[in-house]
Amino acid sequence: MSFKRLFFLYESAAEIPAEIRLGKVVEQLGRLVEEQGYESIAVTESVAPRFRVLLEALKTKHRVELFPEIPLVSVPDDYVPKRFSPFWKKYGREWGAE
Amino acid sequence: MNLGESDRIRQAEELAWQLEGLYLEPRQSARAAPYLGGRREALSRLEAFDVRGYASTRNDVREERSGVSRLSPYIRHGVLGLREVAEAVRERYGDHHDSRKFWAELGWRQFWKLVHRAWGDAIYEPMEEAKVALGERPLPAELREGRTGLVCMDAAIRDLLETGYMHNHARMWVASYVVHTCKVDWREGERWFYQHLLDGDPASNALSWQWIASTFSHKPYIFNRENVRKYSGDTFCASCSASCPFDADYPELEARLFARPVPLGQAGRVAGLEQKGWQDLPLAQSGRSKAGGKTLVWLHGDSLSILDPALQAYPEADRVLFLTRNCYRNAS
Repeated sequence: MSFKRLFFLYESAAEIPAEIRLGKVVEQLGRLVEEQGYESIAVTESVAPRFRVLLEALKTKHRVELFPEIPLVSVPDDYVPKRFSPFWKKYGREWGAE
Repeated sequence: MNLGESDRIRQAEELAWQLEGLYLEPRQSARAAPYLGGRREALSRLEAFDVRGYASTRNDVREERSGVSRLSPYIRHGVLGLREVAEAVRERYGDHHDSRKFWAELGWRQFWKLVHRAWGDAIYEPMEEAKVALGERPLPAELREGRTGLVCMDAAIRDLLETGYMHNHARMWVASYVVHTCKVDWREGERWFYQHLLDGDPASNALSWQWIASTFSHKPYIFNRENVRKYSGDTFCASCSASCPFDADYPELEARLFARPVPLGQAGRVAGLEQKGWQDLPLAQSGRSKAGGKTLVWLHGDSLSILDPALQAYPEADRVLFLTRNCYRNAS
């Protein structure tokens, strides 16, 4: 990853504001939770497989509350996309798809 | 945070020291992009975006002519929500042809994510049989560095390297040139773009490369010189003295590009970034009291906004973001 992108992430998080840390997520989050006495971790879901791996690892030791992303269009959980046009025709009607 | 440009440069230099080893370029050339991070800037850009004319100008790569929003770095990282952006456009411009085209482009982002959700890391390998013969060559240095001699390619690559952004149409040209003209393994191009793009999204990037290559589309994407001239106003071609590989009509280009079997190159891969030891240190404190709540909100690269749903549920909670070497290709 480029420095430009890291700096963009840094600026975005700093404005929220959020604490920004370097390091392995599961170990660091676990340490923070124990040191600061948090009862739970709240996080918004991501589709990335690695996110699910991290999430499962965290769940073995901590209470984790998962929040759904806000999508552009609502799609059933079991929907398997193949091509954009049929997807948009079916689910994009709110946004003018025909 | 409301830094002047000189403060921002100084802050970037300091962070470049602290994060050395975590990013790909040498520290001496580490610079901030001309896209200020954060929601304040994102909202200002959203406010300035005028969708009128979008459908007819979005493919023009000239900055002064192109109607693209350039909001993608903010949307990619959740600084702006997809729905939020779509609604802002509807509120200001209503439901008309340009709005619909723009919304469909936002729809592509969700579509790619749904594919990623369904197929996971399989998106980094061909999703389907290629419809034409593809190459396996490694990405040559002249492409990686924008020294091909083709003005249209080098200008687009320079944009990518210097700003972290490349116009979508230029991405299509460069990706097609990489895959179909140079017969480079599309996965090399995918990783190269991902390393540099501010808006690099695992799903959008990998699957767009597959769309160009024809491993996730019905046919390969190719373009010709006429297309470049049409959408660049002859900016590039007029100053280009190279022998143009795109100067043909489409039947002739197809015959040139796909008629012969592709010689196998060295199956080189983009060198993996060396893994070093992790540092466990806070880079920036939020300045918030630890008594803010008993829940800790974990922010990641898809959710960097105060409108993040977890943060909305716990607005007073402490919140933390982790920066890691490979972060956000596979979300961490």
